[in-house]
Amino acid sequence: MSQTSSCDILLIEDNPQDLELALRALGKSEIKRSIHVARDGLEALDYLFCEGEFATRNIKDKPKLILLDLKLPKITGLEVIERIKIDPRTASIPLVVLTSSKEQGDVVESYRLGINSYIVKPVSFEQFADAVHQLGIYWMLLNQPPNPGTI
Amino acid sequence: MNNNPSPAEDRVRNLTLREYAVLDTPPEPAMDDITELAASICGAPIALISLIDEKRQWFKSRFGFELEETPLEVSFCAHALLQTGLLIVPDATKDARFSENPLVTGEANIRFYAGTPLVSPEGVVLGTLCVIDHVARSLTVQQAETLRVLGRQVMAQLNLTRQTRELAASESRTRLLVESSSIGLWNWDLVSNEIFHSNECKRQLGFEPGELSGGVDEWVGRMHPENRDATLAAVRDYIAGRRPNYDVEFRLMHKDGSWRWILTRGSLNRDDSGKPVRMMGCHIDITDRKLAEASALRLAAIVESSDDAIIGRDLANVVTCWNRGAEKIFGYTALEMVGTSIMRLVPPGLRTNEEALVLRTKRGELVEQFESKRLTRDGRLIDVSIMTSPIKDAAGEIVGVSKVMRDITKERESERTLQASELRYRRLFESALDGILILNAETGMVDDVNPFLVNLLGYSHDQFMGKALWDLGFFKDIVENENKFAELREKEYVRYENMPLETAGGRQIDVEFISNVYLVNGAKVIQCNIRDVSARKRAEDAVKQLNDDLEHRVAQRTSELEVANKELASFSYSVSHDLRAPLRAVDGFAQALLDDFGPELPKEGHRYVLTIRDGARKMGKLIDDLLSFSRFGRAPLLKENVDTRSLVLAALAELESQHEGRRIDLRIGDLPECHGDPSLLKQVWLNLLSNAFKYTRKRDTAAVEIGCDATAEGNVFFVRDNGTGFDMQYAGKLFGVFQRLHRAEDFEGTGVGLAIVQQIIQRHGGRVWAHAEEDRGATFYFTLGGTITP
Repeated sequence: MSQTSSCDILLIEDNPQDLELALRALGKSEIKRSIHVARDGLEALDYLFCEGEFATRNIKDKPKLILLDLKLPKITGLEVIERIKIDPRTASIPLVVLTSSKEQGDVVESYRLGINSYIVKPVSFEQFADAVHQLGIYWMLLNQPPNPGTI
Repeated sequence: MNNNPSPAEDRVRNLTLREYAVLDTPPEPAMDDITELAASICGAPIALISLIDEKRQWFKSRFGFELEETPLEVSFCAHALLQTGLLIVPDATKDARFSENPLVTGEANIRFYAGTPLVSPEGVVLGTLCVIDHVARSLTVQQAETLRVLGRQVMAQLNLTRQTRELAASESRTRLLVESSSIGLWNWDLVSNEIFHSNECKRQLGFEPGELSGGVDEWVGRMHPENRDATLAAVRDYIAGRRPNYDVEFRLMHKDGSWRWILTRGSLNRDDSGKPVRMMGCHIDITDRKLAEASALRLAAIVESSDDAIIGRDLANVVTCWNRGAEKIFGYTALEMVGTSIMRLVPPGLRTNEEALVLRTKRGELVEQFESKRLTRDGRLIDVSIMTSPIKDAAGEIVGVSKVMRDITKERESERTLQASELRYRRLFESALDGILILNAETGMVDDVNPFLVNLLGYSHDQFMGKALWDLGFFKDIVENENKFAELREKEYVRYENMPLETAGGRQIDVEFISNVYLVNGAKVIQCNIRDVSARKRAEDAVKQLNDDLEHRVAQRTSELEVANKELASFSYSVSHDLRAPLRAVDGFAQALLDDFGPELPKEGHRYVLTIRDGARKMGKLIDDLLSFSRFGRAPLLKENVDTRSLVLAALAELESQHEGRRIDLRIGDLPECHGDPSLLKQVWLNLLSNAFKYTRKRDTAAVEIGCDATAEGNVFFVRDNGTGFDMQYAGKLFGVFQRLHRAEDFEGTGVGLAIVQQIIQRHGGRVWAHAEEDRGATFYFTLGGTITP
């Protein structure tokens, strides 16, 4: 909810408990990063494309990772993915689906739209925390994104 | 004048006179002597020999008279013809017959006439010998008698001339006969060895009279080599007296190179000393007779060799001729039949017919050809065709009957069979419940139409007959014109389904039209079968309507199902997503409680929090299993040929961690290929094998066997273990969702695994069942409905 103009991770999650658990898991990991949370699809898109309340933000300050749930109010997760991936300014941001849905339809459609990973949230907190932790290590430390100038 | 003889007498006299050929001949001294003698004896100045023909009297001799002839009207002699004796007219002026005669009243000045008739040997009066005087007078008896004698003398003289002339004519006729006949004459001088042949002898061989010399050698040279020696021997023998006559047939070469058959006969002349000096004889051409004889022989051979029976019979029913054909047909030999009655061939019921036939033949009626029945020797009754003709003798009298008979039993039988067959087909045609139209393929005219079609279309039989197909009107769809009809004819088979027609009554009907072309007695015929399919069409329409309705209902049901499926998917989605989030919160915050406030919680508090977390995890597992059960039920079935063994090995590899460190005796038998959805089938193997490992957990050594039995039902796959097994009385509950046969403390699980197995197997069209004993292990069997596709 911070109004910072840039962040390392954009977390899109509407469920407050899941959000708290996710932040708790991320907070416990050694990766201390700035996280921006969007509570629905519209807010996430406003943030990314610097519209609405985020109009003053510089679009070039892109998050290093987007984590999103599929079941979102207003604009669904799949629509958000589509909007991100068809816009060249945002298409290169790594995008990981973090959701409760194990439905094949969701998995297939998400990958078709160009996501980088699909993670099913486990019920067990240890497993959930572990998954978030692993994600952080991989995408923030190991993954090499393209230089901004090359996009 | 009433002095003329009757016309019939005139005709006879004229014909007879012509035989004498005396009219208009020159005077003869013998006749003139007689007239002079008559005038002298009778003391008359005039004496005449007068002959009467159609119009005149002509004088063969006249004494004292200038005219050569006078017309009949003035004739005295014509009156003399009417009587046989002397006609004496003493004074013509006083005789009513002559008083007006110009010879009496005119310059001739005749007063006296005495004439004796000249009578031919046939009794015909030809004329008179008469004396005439210019004064009335009479004859003495002596003079009258002398005149009669002289008249006979005239007649004798005429007769002599006539006979001489007739003899000459006869001689000339004989000469003509010899010259024009086919008899050639020859004359052989044995002393000089010269031979004379008449012109006919030469003509017989095609030569002119001037050709062929008289040499013996030349004639011998023309003789056929086969006849030469025998003929010369016959001559020598005859001359030497070793044979009584010379009568030989031989062939001579014709000028054109052909051979002529000659019959020769000759006789020998000897001189006073008995030495043969001359042979005379004739040649007769008998070639025609010889050919006729050969022809007769050939005819006899033909009769003999004919397959037809050729039988001659006389009018008394006696067989006179019986050829080999007759033997074959009737079984009797000629020896048995000739001379006996023909009636034994005639069945008793037909004998009166046969007698009537003979009577008709005797009357000269022609009975040409007829068919009848006859009996053979072995008693068979056969059909025969008989041709008869009368046999006549040389005088033309009918003396018998010749018959040519042919056995036509087989033809009759096949005709009878054909008739029976035709009758059967005719009945079919008449009683058929299809319309049948027979067309002449050349003209397109209707040859026949059956009653059904007449009734169906409502037109009369006569409205069809003799009309062209395209003129009938109601077949316009098939044949508009003759060209279109030719197509019908050439195609040989044409079929129109559901052709609409209108009947005479205006009713609309649907017919099926089929035409076939075939040959009848070498002529092409088109048979059209026309079936009323209106009822069928109505039924078809009804079926189509039903199908349409059904399709509509199916579509409606399908769309309903699609809606239901969508609802189900959305429900599952909600369950998947929304039920797990609160659980995650329960577990997550329980953990957070322990992390953040663990030290402050009493020991019992710790256990409660752990129980809360355990419950949340179990709930999560139940939800996951329920979702996967739902997912397998909805997943599309993508069947292909599956390598079962690879599938099983992959499943085993995934499960390896489950039994890590345990002793497992794993046996894998033959696993044939199967047909199904590989990902779903893998789930089946995973679940079954997972169960096998799970329920053998308490064994020191787990024995797990995987295999397949070939049965009547198809391949039966199985997984057998030596685990804890179960009581068969609960086997029915085995495959229900969330049904468990073991306590959770003993074996964990939610009771969804076997339900998923059953669901997948049933969706493949197979079945799954189990056999077990408590504590003695269990075996799970399944089949798959599908077959391997090549």
